[in-house]
Amino acid sequence: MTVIGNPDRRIRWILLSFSIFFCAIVVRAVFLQAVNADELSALADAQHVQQIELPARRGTIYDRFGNELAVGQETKTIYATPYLIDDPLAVSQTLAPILQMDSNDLLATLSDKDAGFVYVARKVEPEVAAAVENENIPGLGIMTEEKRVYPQGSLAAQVLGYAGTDNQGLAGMELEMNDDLSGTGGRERVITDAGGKHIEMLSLEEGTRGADVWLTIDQSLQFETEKILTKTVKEWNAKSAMAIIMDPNTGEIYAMVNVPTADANEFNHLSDEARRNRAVTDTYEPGSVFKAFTATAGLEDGAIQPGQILHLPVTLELGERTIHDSYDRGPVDWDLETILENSSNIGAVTVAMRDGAENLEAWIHKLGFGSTTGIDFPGEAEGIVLPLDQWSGSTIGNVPIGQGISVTAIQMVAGYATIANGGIAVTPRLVCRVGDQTLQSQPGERLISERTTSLLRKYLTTVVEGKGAPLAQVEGYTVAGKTGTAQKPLPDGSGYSNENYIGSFIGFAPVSDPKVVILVMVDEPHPRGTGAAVAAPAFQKIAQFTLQKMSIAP
Amino acid sequence: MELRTYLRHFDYALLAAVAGLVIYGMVIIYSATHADPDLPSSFYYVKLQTVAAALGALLMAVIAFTDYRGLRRYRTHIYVSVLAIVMLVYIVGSAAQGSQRWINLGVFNLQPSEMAKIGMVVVLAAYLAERPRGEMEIRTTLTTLGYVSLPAVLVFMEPDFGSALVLVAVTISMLFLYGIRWTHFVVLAAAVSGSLFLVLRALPAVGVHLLKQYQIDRLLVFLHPDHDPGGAGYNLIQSKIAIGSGTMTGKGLYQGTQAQLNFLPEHHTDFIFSVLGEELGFIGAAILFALFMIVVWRGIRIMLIADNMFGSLIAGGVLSMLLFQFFVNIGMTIGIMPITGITLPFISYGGSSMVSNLLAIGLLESIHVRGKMMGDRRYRRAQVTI
Repeated sequence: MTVIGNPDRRIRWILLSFSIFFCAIVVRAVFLQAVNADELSALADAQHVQQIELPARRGTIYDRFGNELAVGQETKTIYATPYLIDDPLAVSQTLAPILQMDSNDLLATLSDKDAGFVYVARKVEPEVAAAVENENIPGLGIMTEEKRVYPQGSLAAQVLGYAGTDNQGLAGMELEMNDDLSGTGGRERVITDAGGKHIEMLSLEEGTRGADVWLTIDQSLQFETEKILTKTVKEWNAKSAMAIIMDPNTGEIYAMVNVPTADANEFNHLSDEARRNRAVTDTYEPGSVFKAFTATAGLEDGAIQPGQILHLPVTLELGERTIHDSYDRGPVDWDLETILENSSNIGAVTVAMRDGAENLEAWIHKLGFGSTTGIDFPGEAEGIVLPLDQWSGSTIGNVPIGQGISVTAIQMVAGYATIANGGIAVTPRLVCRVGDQTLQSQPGERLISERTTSLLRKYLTTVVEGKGAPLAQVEGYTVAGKTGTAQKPLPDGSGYSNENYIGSFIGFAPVSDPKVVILVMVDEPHPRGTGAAVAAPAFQKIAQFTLQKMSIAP
Repeated sequence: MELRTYLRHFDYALLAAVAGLVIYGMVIIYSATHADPDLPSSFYYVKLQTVAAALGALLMAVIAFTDYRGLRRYRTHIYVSVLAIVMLVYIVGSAAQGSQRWINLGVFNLQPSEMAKIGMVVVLAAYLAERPRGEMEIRTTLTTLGYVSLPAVLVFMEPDFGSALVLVAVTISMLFLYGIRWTHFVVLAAAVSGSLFLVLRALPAVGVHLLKQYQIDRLLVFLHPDHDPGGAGYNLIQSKIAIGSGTMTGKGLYQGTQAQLNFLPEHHTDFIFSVLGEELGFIGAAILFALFMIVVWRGIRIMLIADNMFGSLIAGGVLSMLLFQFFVNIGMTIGIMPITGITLPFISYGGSSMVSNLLAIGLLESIHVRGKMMGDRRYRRAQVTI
């Protein structure tokens, strides 16, 4: 091509640059498709294969007769893939009125471009989710989630506790039985398109639903007891009250009541105080109800014999303390039965002194105080029993009458159950069945002799039938029990309050073959009232209803 | 001239390679778009592309059988037409994605910048072929640049940065092939680099935006794709993931997860190579490269066969236009070139591009046929002399 000079050389340059570019492209293609292929394939999979965790459905909690106390309800949860949302501002303004949320909060959530997954609104009503779905916004997704619902509202709320938003038990039986209730989650692998829409399911691994749990609670007893206690708290202008109904032979708890009650569906908005199942987690100084255990120790150790008369002075000097009885009397000669009937402090202390501090302390531990009962409920308190080496000269004047010792209501019930059932240790329990498995009570060890318990049952019957707690009598049944009126310790630890009392009563019935032990404890009744005046009438109502409901022959 | 002579001198290898590319492109377009639920039919884009290819083939045939040398006389007309059609966009153009690039012709959207490319190849070839070599070279260079700057700036302002870039690249290649001095070439290359720096970095820094910010982001993101993975870097990252996950043999036609599930953006236009790479793997890409190499080989051969400077320069211009787009487009999908919005010739969906590219092949064929016939005549003359 000499006609046009010699562009051949220039063509060679073009060819050279073509070759360089071409080689660069081929090398780069090989680099991507061979060298980096695995890494990029993994990225591709990560983009279009989405693994969705399918939360397991949570087991239902029933009462002993199969009434639903806590159930899972299907709800919808709205989530987003923020980087797929082109215009977070517009989307947040669209969603705000539907979800009734603040559009600025929504905007903040949706603008987090680094997040691959964010919750927009959890556990909303299906109608709300449908309204969101109608907007057809790319990057938003809806999944089914379960919401825990407590159909009975406040019934046994502190016992049931609650499960959080992610369906994990956070308190109460929901926490205690969480492993059984939870089940195992499944997972689903799906192919999604760039808009997050599910195109195809690759695999589905079904989870298993959590096991159902049956509590020992009897819904109607629980309900009635709550009603009675609520009335008592109102009548006496009290701070709170609690009650426990338990089978003294099996330890099954028929009712466990904390008043004021709490709405189980609003649990996460409640104060810690309102949430607590105080019957198990809180301690108090029991007062005179404890004298039954002092009597147990005295009888078992032979420190006092049935019918043995003790001379009781008007006051008793112990260390820096002077012990009085709660009423004026001259010097008397009483046996143990009369001491209990009159709830004599000096009598109980005298019995304890005859027995000796060491023996008394050993009995207190043996009967379960200072350690947990083993009830299947989380956060049980141990209470405080002063170790023997820290007893002062006046301790022997306190502990036998239920002062300077802190106990839980459930410990007191377990102790009285042992007296009621003939001396066998009882582990209180709240669960009677999990899934297909019915739980049986383990036979407990003998703590107290038959002889002593039958004496105590007789003495405690005298308390109710005599002048101790006549208001606790239930028509047609023989009832045994003991009152307690305890001054509350001052918060600063300097002594006892003259204003704030705890009035309590523990009893069981029918005495010939006790079927229920019932504790009633009223915290800070005003005007201040004794256990006999405040707690015994509530006990009477509860016991009457319970015995009739359980069709127990008089 | 007899039809038989024409047919004998036709470059069938070039024709076959181009036909192969067009069909290959249709298959990939079908794969990329058939599952789109918003389309009236799964063949929607393939049908439109077929119409464009048929129209292009017709024009190619007409041009191939016409004596391209006649175009020399009409270079002023062609130049004025190029300017007119490019300016028309500003008057009746329809906007898409923030830029005016199309003229709505009812059934078709005409993209004048595509026509301008091939028009300018002819105009510049005609001008340069007339220039006496070795004299007043600087004037030749400057005049050429003057010719091209008008349409290039107009296209740039649409804004269609990619097409403007093609015009500049083609002009420089043609000047180079024409034989301007190396010094001119070096100065020119420096000037282009300098103005790119001005447009992309220096001027935006002082507040003058010749390009929209999104264009600058797109252009520069290939340097740091991970800086903005959700924004400007998204296309590039998705493209590399698609191509890389295709590995050597590909995921199979219609089986490309990234393309089919819409992770890959603009998968029937700018990023069609990514679809091919994902679904047909390196082997599929190699077939594409091979077809393009045949086009390059035949194009260079035609430059040498051409019986005059005009033809040789047209062939050089067409070749550099196709190559530049090929490299920039594929380079962008694999992350070694900026994202300019330049499509892959014969493969990417786009009617105007298809028509003008086929028209360019028609010019190559015409040059081939004339060159061959001249060769025959010379050969015969030589025989007579002997």
